[in-house]
Amino acid sequence: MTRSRYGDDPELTRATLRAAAGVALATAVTVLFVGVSVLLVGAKFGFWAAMHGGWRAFGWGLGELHWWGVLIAFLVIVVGVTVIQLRKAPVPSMPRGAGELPPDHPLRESASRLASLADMPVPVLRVVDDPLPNAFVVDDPDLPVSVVVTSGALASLPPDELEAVLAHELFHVAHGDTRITRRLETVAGVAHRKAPSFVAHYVLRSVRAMMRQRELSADRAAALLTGRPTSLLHAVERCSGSHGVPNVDLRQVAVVGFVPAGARHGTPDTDTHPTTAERAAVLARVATSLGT
Amino acid sequence: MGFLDSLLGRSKPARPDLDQLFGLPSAGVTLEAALDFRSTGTGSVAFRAAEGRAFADVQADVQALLDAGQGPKVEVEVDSFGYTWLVCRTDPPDLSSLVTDLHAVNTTLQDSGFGPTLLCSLASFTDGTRTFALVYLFKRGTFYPFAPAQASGTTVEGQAPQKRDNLLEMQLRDLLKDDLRFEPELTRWFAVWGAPGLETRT
Repeated sequence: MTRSRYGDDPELTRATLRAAAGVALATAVTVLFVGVSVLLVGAKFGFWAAMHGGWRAFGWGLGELHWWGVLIAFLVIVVGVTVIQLRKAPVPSMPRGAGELPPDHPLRESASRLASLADMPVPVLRVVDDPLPNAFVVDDPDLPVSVVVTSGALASLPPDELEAVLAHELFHVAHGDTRITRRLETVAGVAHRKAPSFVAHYVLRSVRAMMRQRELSADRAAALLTGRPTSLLHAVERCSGSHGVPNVDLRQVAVVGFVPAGARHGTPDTDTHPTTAERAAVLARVATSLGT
Repeated sequence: MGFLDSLLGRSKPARPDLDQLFGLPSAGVTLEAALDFRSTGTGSVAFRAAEGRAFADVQADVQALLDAGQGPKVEVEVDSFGYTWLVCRTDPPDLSSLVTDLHAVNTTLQDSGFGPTLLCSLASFTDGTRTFALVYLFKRGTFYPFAPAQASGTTVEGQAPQKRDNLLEMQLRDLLKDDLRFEPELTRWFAVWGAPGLETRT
């Protein structure tokens, strides 16, 4: 009971840094590729000589251009291109038909209490009509950050499991996971189209590894916050055990879901969510640390 | 929380702030002078106990912890949301010693590593007909009033409709704003229906 539920999470830090490194590497390779092409084409048309002459006029010989100057320029371009890519991330929108949770629903009070325990603002709770039990965070820029719960989850999960799911989503809200995931996924998409395939695959793998780690971190934090790892595990089992075609396309609303929408389509390297067994392992460790 | 913190999965753990509790006695004086509300002598502390522990264990452990620090006797109750409430009573009603007891319970729980699981403390007041609680949020170090409205009529399920007396709550905030630090975000004024320690006279 002595662990603080929202303290540092070194595993998450490592996964995020790996994903960021993957993105930076992809950008670096792409910039290097483009840069070398420009230089080669430039040399062919005498551009290089003209530029050299220009520098001479300012009193800077090419010979005085140190290697670290080139390196700094290169890094500036890499960072600039990365930032531009990150800013191009699509804007998420609230799924149609997502109405506010009725004011007298007991889940509201659970949410307020959890938010109070975690010392964070209470997010807006919405319901979307979808028979598959799931929940996700939508950070539509026109609306306050919302946790959207499917009608299937409200109908099939008992109160303690709903609370556990909510605590999991609150972690995503508290850590801005939707924003980061959306941006890194966008970069992975750009890399997929532009970068050499081995680089694109590396980026995708590192971004997805981070997403899986964020899910595990959210599970751990939620179990510590509620003190109920078993309820969370039951919710994971119940939600991932329901198969069918979801009404809400999670990719469209660009969100982080409690369980993936629809069937898993990736390989273990590129899945967005950890397996139920991996989540159970994390929750078992929480249960041990809680002394239950 | 900065961008870097969210990128790296860091956020500062919430630290309970207990000192504000000692503002309650002066608020009690103001309340009695202005609205004739008096302390019922009852208050409670809510925290989240981990699953799987037998209720009797939690009760015994908490009382053992309190006894070790010469703390007060408490009654233990669990509400429908899964929170454990430790109820302190003073008879005859004495707000100052109630606050001392609540502070002792909080400090004991905090020192035993339950700090992050502490939800709120409350002290209840009544004017003979209406009852309300001043709820203290640990993680914020702020107070808010929770006033259940008088039950009138019943719903289809036969339960009294749960309504808050928002007018009284706002009145209390205006009256006590010099005595206590109030929670500025109204969304954090969560309801504590039927909370143990909140005496409702029928």
